[in-house]
Amino acid sequence: MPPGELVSALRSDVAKDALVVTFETNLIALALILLLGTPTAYWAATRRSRLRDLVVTLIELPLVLPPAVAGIGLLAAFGRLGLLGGTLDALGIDVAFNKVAVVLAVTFVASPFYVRTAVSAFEALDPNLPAAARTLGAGPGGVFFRVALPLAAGGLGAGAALAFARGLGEFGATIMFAGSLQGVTQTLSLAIYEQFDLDFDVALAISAVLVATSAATLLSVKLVTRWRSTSSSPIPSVASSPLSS
Amino acid sequence: MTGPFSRRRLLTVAAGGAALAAVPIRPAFAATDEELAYANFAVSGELLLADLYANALGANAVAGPDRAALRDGRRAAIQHASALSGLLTGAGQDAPTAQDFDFQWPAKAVATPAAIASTGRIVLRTMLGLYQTAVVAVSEPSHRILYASLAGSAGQQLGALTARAASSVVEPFPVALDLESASGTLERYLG
Amino acid sequence: MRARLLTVAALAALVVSATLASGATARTHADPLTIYAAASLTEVFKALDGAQRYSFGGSNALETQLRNGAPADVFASAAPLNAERLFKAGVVDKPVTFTANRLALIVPKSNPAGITSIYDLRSKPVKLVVAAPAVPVGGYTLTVLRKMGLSGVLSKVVSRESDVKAVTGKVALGQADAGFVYVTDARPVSDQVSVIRIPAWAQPRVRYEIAVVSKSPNKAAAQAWVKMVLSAKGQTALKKAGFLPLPKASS
Repeated sequence: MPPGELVSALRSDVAKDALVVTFETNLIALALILLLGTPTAYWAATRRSRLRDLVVTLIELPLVLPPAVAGIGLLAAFGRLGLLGGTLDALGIDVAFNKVAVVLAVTFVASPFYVRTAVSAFEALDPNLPAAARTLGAGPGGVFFRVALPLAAGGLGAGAALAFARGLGEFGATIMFAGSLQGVTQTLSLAIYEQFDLDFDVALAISAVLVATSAATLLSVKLVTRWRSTSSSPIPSVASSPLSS
Repeated sequence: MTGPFSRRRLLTVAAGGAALAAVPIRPAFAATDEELAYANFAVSGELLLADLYANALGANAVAGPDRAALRDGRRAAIQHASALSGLLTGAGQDAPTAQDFDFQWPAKAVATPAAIASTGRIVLRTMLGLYQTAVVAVSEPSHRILYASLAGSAGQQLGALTARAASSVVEPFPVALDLESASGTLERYLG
Repeated sequence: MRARLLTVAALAALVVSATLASGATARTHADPLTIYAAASLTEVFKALDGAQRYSFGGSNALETQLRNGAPADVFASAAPLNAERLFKAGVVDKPVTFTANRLALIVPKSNPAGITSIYDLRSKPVKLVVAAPAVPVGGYTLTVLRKMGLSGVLSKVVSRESDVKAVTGKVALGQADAGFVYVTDARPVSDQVSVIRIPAWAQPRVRYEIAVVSKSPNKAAAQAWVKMVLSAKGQTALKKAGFLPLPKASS
């Protein structure tokens, strides 16, 4: 497909709306994942307990769930008739068929990708370094923010990139939980699905955007990993270490 | 000054032009979907009426001049349906035909002259009320004229059908019915 | 070492040949047919003949799949358009109309938006779910609303689904306040939804068409299956499920 046609197909309302919806919701989801996932991963990495094992299993659950099941799970939890449906209604929070629903779906399926890698990154830290920081008088917060976080940043960055890429491609859970409406909940993946038999050129153009973004994400992960491993840190490259538990 | 460009001539032309410009030019009305909804319902109502007349004729419950009334009514209903279909297709919509419906008549709807009059009264009275609303609701003048004449015909049919009925059907001011009410009243027959 | 390599190679060859054999085109007459059918036919086709392999979905999505070479023997669509387009493209043989249907408005049993008639959609706030316009039932929904002069109701749509079962599901789960489906889709979930009738004068002309896929390797069996659907057995099953018989002089 000639690049000129690709660009003009991307200028269509469907493609533009899908781009806006996708990036809005995915950036918010990523922020949520980082804010909630980082402390959780640090906690899981620095403890050894049954509770910790349980939490890690729960966090990893969406990894093995088919997205459609994830969609059902979200409905069961946050749906109108779900567990938290009544509470949300009472609080006046509307989670049906809007961007909040998309953010929830993306967060749910993408968070394991980040948390897993983050736990790995924190676990790979040389335990002497935080200990040394504490003997020098740093409190737990100081240890986290000024020792653990900077040292694990490479792995955390890689995890964030993976989670972002996964979130961009999310389809099943989104369509089941949030529905599909152009300009509101129709993400790039949902737009491809709808445009596939309507306007194949638009579907192709949107796919190209997703492929390019995924490729860029992978590339950035590789580059960050290489940069971290060639830095002065004595810690081995975290992106290649498996999750140890 | 005389000749083609005399002052008098110019003033006359100018006055005529000003007069023309002062007359408001009516734009062609495009019927909206809300307005065409009346036609959509009315077609089915007229097809229903034609079916009722056909059943009544087939039941052989009436004879003589009363049969003529039924035949005239049937002819009118068919022509009404045709006119309304033309209205719809002219606006780009599909018009239904009798085959698209499965009309439901109660068991003894056409068994006796009284039953025919009673059932016909319900249908005709509903259509009359609807046409009154349609005349007001629709903007296209040719459509309004059609609805007005359909209302008139419905009134005539009411009189012809109930000529020998015990009670009079004459109302000083027949009530206009909106689409929702008319649809609800005829729903049991329209299937 | 050599023996180990040979064993691995033999196993690999076995796996490959088994895969190829299972996908082989030579089939016995007892092999199940692959039937691509509109989502609304899910229950009735499965009840009519549970032995075949079915792929149910929006007729437009199925059309695209077949156009791109999806292997199937029979195609049944909920609108003439999809089957006719495939016929023009040479993908299927001449389609035949085999049944009709009506649309209905469904609401969850709890009826959160308090909808009792289709006109309530106009006056009350409601989370309305419909199928995408390219899906047959989505197009039919637009026709119903247009005929009734209620197209303004479309501003209350919160999601455009890819097939009628997705619409049904969202209403049955109580996520949506109302949805437009076929009357036949309301039956399997009759304990979770309430049906609001759409008047007969507003109904579109719904026609289902069925055709044998031209490149089907089981043409004779496929043609026999289509004949069965058109026969008294098939028509009775369809009628029982709530589908409409075709008018005498069908269009």
